[in-house]
Amino acid sequence: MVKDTGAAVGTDNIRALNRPLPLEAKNDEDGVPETLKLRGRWLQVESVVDRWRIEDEWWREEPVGRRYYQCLVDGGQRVTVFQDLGTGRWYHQRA
Amino acid sequence: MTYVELHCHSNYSFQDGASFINELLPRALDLGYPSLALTDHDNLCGAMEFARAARSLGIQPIIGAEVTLKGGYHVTLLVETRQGYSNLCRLLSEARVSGDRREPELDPPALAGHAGGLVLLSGCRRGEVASLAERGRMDEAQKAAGRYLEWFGPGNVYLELQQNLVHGDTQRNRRLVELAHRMGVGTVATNNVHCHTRERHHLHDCLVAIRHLKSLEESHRERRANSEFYLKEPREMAELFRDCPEAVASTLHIAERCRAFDLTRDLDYRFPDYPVADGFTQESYLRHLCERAAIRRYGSVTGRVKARLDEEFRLVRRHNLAGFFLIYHDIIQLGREVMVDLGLADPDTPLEENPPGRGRGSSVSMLVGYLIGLSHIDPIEFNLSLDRFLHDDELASVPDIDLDFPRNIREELIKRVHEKYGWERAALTGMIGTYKLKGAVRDLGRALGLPPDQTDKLAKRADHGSASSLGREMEALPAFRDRVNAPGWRDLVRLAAELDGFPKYLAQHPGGMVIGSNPLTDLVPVQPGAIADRYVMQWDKDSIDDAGFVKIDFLALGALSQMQEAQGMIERRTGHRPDLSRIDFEDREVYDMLCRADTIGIFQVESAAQMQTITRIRPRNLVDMAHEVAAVRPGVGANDGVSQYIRRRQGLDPVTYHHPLERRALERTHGIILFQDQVNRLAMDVAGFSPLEADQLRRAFGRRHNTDLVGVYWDRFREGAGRRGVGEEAAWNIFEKFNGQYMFPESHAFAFGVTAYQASWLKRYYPLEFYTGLFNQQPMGFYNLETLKEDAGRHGTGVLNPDINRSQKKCVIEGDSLRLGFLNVASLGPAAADAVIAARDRDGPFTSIAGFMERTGLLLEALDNLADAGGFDSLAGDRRAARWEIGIRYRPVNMQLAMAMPVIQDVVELPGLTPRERMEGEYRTLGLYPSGHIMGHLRSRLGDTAAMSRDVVDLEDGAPVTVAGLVVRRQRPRGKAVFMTLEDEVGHIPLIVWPKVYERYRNIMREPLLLVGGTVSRREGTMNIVVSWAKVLADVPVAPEARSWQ
Repeated sequence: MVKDTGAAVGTDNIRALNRPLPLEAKNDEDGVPETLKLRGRWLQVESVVDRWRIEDEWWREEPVGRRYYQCLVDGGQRVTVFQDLGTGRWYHQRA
Repeated sequence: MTYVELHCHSNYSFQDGASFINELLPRALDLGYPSLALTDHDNLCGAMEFARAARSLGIQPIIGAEVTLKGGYHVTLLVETRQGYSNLCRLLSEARVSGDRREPELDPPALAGHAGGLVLLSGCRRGEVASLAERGRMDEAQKAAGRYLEWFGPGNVYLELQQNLVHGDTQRNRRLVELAHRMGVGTVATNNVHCHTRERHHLHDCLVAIRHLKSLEESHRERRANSEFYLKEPREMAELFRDCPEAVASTLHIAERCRAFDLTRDLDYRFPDYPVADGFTQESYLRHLCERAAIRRYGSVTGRVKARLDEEFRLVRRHNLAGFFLIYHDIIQLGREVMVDLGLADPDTPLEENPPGRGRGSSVSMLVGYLIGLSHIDPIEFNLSLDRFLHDDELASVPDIDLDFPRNIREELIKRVHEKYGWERAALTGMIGTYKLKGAVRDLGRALGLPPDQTDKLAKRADHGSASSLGREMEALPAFRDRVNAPGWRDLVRLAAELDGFPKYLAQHPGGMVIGSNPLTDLVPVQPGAIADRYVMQWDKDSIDDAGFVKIDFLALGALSQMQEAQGMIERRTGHRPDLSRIDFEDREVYDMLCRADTIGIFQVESAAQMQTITRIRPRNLVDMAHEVAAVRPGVGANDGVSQYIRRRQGLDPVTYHHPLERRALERTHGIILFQDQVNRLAMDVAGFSPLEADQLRRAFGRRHNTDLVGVYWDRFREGAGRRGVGEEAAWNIFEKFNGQYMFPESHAFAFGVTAYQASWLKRYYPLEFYTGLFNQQPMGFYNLETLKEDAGRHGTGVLNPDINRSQKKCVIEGDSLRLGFLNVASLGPAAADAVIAARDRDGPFTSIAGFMERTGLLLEALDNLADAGGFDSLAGDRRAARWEIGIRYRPVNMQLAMAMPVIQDVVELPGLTPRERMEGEYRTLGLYPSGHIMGHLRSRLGDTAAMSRDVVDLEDGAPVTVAGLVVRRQRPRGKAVFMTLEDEVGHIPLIVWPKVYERYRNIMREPLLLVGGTVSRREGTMNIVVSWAKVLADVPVAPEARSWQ
């Protein structure tokens, strides 16, 4: 049995997990990111390891359309970013 | 060229593929594909259409399928050789015959015995190899791929790589490439195409949701992650697989391997030979059968009969059709056995005197057919021409012979043909059900999450027709006008237009059967039908025609069932069974009845249009009957032919020709074209066409987008006519008489005219049996039971409510009336009816409602309906009291033991049902009101405002009139005026509603009871009311539904 924490339950306590964070990025003419600004620092994309795309909820007011890239940036770090196909903005998708 | 798509679904991947074949192929052509594969899920429904269309565009068609294996795994199979094609057909048949016909899953070892001539691609992400690789279970993936390799052999198995930019594709492909290298097998790139352009993926999402009976919101897991599953540019595919160019190169290599097989050329279908006794050839045996029958029919082989037989046998020999006719004869013999087994024929009567079915169509012109039992019309007596059916020219395909049977004989005959030839050699033609407006609204509405009550209302309110017209339909409906651009509804309108005409399911054609000398399962996949013991090919009639298969049409004709049943009842009542082939075909009283348009319930002549022509054509013999049934056809009406024919026949207009060469073709129909054959004959006589050319000309008029084609024929017609001395103006006037609308062949008109006369004869002399048969064969004909009941009453035949102690399953004769059967009562099915009859036969009549309930165990709904239908009238004083008693006594079967609990204390005095309440109960449970007419209840509220049908008859042309009644018919031929019929308590009132008036009162016009105003229109002996306004007469909870036709 999990012990009652006594904390109040309500929607104000619900928070999204892994919410994507806005990110600055520069991309080539095919839309592939070349440099990313992470934690205030511009990082060069050394290679794109994987990429995928999702499109959903086109029947709603705000359809979902994202182009994802899993990038290897300098320093060997793997970073997953996506571009919102509606707004063109970039986001960092945290694991 | 760098890439060929080898994994492509059309919309024959039901509720998955989102593009037509004729969208995929032009797109492939635009993209520069030299070849394209079609790999629909578990079927080859579109294969022939695809192969022919692709060849016409200069694209190499590759035939294949994505096959579902046990466990839901997919593999892609492509046909390399003719043997491979047979193997694919057999595998697809096997999957459905041995498993679920709708959701087939093939046992993988079956692949082992049918691998020859096929190339196996390991499948999409749902393939066993791919899905194991995705999960990193590489040893198992290798084992699975190894099995394929063992079955198909080295070089015939490729690991399929798909890069649809779905998360996981990259890693899976990497593992598959490694596995391929390790095993020494090739890889191949495919795109798992489900639509021809990216834009179609919204519809694709909806189809997936529809398939899983979910909304878009609910089907996230089932839908695809993105819109990448479309036919891509080869360059784009090469770019996606730039790390694995060999997988792209393999597509070209495989396409080349598949080049040798051509479905449009390599099928080699053969009609079976008919085995004949020693000393006979097929032809001599057929002649022997005909001559024996001719002696029975005519007393001897007279000079005329011999001459006709000689001519027909010359053509039979020329086209090698003796075996073809003998197979038909064989089938008729099987039908005859069915008749004998059902007690409908005496085995000693010669076949041709009481054949189990009868021919329709142009085949009826063959004396051979008449003599071997394929038709009931003597072509010599009626001087029927052979040209339309059989001629000297090369035949494009074997001629069609369509046979009509009573329903019960047809059901059994289909089963016996399957048994005799085996389901692999005899199967029914498929039929592709397609999306139209109503289905599109309901299915897409659910997918889009629109309120079901609203989409249902829209589907019911909208006119029948194309889903592409949904926007217009909504604009016309006040309740939906504002929603055309509303969220959700906007998508519905857009997607319905895309979905219009999409294949929805494979069903069984109404009658077409194909028999082959080789197993059909080598030619086309065959699967079990929805009805037990029936097998259906995965091709529709167009594909079957393209394949050159001989289709034998066994059609069910309700009128034959009705007449057969009536004959049986007459025999039981009088001891004498009338032989309808030997009745007096020139009976004055029968024709007098027809000339009064007293034709309700009579095959072919009961429609309002037929009623209006028959009073003017005034048939007096079978030739007139043939003209009557032929005249009311779109092809005759298109050039005002019906009016002209009637006016000339009545002597009001002179019979004229544009050239004397027309005379032979048109003389017998007063210079007007009534029959298809006359078009052919005109082309031959006026312009010197050969019989085949003439037939091609006639067909050219019926094709879509035929302007150029008709132009070519006009040039040839003009030139040919010129050579025969016919001037261009006369030639043009004659050519203008042709059109592409449907007409009957002359022999078909005779066949139907005879059947119509026989039905008329029964109505005239045996109305009791005629109406009882008609009631029992519903649904058939133009009218609902209420209208038929009214007509029966006018002919002295009463209709009695069902009665628990008197009714049988179906209607039976009781005195001068027909007693409705248990099956006429809503929610009483055959099992309930059997239970009632068995209980009554076993322990005698029912004496109480309690006893009835206890002895039959009927469910509450059936009991209540039976009470409202009057079934307990003989036991209970009133129907409300009967329902009360049922309510207090009823105990659901599974809840507790049935125990006779005292309920007397719960019985209360209730007021009896009013006549109006009784009527509503009867309409609700029986669909008719046996003891009266609804207008009888409503007349008092109308006062003098509305004339009755009998009063309208005397009004003059142009007189203003208001009438009221129950709508029994709505008909809208080709979107022109709407023709309706109102029925009141004494008769019928025909209405014409012009389009503007109809649009204005459209919603009112759909109500069952109307008050309408307009003017009387009298034209050439017809009377109609031209409607100018309409009101709802009364809001009733239930009323019989009108029959509507487009």
